[in-house]
Amino acid sequence: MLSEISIANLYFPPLLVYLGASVLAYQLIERLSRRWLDRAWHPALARFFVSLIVVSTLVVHC
Amino acid sequence: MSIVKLLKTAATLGLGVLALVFCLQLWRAYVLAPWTRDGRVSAQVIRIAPEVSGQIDQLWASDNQWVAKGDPLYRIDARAYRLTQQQRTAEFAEARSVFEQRSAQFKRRVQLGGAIAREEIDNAARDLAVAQARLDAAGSQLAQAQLDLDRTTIRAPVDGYVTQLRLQPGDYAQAGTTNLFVVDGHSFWITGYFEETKLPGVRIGAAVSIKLMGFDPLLQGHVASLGRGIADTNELRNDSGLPQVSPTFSWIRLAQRVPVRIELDKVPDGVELAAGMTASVEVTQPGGAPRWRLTQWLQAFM
Repeated sequence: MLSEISIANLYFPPLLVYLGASVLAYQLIERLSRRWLDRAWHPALARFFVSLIVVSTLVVHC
Repeated sequence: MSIVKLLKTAATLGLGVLALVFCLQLWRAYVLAPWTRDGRVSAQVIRIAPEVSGQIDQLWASDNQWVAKGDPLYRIDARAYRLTQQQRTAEFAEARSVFEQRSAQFKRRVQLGGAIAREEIDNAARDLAVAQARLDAAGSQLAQAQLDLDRTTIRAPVDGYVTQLRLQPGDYAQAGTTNLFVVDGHSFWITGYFEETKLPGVRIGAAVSIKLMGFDPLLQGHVASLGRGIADTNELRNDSGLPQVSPTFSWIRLAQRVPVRIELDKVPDGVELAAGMTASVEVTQPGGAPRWRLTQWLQAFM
């Protein structure tokens, strides 16, 4: 929380940084588990849940 | 519905429950955790006013200069006060002389005993008492004159920094009127304005990490106290004496912010504090895992 990223005196909230990192992590995970996600009852919903888990895990544990 | 389809549905919903649990953790870490970007460096500012009036003839302090307790800051023209002191000294000498004369007179009267009237002894005793009172008064006036003379030199009451100096030799210093400010160099603390929804996580004595906007190293401190009152704008009254109650959107409730005083325990070398600086403040939770390593890592490389 205390380590805000500033670019040209514009301060980005930490969550924004984590969202950016989550996009990359999610794309990697989605690519690795695409076969399993496509077999879910609702593939889009399953992907949404995975993206939430990725964001939360990054923020809480990294 | 086949067993495979049932399993697929259960797996998706299980994933959803897992996501919900993680989101709750995220909510606690980001929204409910006691942290704020709205912290300020605060310090005690001592307002210095002379206790005697006069023209400033010497100015030793300069703007933003460090001064130690007792260091002279400026001097008021002392000539008038020196003359007063001389006058009081003379008056004191006169009173003492009168007192000694009356004292000797009284002793002589007492020694004469029955040879003189009792009234003369009583009068001598009364004269001696009057002389004693005048001597005491003259002594007090001399002490006051000496005090005023001493007060023509204004000294720093604390270790600190002279700030907003707008004095020049030749300015007239009015007794009781503030004309110089010193920021107490040992009094810096942080005021964190925490939303009231985050106060349950703010415990007295809890360790606090502070990040100043202008300096990279983290400062360490602890929660010293919670502000016990902020102004309620609804309490303002108009000319008729009626409270000016503002209308609200009942579905949007803004949390009030309460000032929390954080005493500094450790200020890293190279960090220069100035009252009013902006700080981000995070109250450490007991057993809390280290967070925000990603941003710390990014910040270290940017």
